[in-house]
Amino acid sequence: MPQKTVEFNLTISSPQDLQKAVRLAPILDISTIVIQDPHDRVLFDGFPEPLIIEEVSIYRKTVLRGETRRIQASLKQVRRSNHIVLVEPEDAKQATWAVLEPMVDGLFISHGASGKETGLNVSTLLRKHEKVIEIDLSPIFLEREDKLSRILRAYRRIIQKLNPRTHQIILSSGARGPWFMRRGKALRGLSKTFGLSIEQTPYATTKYPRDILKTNTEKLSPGYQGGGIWVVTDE
Amino acid sequence: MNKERQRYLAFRIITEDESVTIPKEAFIQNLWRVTRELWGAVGAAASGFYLMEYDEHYKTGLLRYAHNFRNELESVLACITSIDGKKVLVTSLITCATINRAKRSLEEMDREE
Repeated sequence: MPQKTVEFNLTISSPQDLQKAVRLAPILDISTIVIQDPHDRVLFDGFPEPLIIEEVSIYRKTVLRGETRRIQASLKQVRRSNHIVLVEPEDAKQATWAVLEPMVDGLFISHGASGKETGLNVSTLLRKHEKVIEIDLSPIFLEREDKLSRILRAYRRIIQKLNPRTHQIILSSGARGPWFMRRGKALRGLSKTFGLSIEQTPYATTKYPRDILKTNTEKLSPGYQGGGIWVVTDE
Repeated sequence: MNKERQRYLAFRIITEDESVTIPKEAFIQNLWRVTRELWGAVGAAASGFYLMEYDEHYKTGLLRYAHNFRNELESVLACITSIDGKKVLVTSLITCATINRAKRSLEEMDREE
């Protein structure tokens, strides 16, 4: 059976792009599309194709300007409307904050990781904290030889220091449009370039994104009761 | 050292504008350029990539590769993002151990279209 991938990071800018994404998804064995901007959800209405569009969104921005109290307040607001909070750190200081902040689910590693300092600090920091880490593969599609080796080296540094049992590594095609969507097998092949084992990649492309979506959707449902909480009635 | 066995992979090129054709030479050029960028000259030499067949009309083809280079080939195809300035997406269709089986499957797929 072909492995169905979860497209974890798709930005749709126009209805034309959406049509292309819906057309390409079955060819690429993509079963679920997770959209980045909640407003994009409207674009998917009325499409009869058997493609699951998850009604969750990912907050992926650097929110580190201003005082700590203000940042935490804005994060609370974000959490109310978004299911996953991933922060893209720009430097070592931001990475430290994101790793230690309980409101942040994990880190989104993209071009910023190509900086030597950030790459080293991110992996060292994450070793002690269980956080999700999303690796954006789009720079590999776009960059040419000289920059490519630097990006692969940075990704390799981060991944080699992480424990696959405690850190959920998500590989995303970083699709900034339908033409960057890729098959799970293609992502698996690419992951070999920076040292992720072939056994880990089905988890990275399918299981972890799906698990995160499931648990976060449950948590935000009105009837959710956290573990260890008992409902006490008068009777 | 294990003996290299050959495998065959059928692929399809998807273009933004369906009427656009992709010449065989342009595809080969891009395939080798990306292979060298990702896996280097040593990897390219060991990969055994060879374009056996290519249909410009259906934009489908058959690639031969060394059996232990399956993942490398998938990664190379994923990284071909444009050919002759046209946006493309190259996706693998099937892999076979014999060329006759690969050809048959490819013909069936073309017929279905």
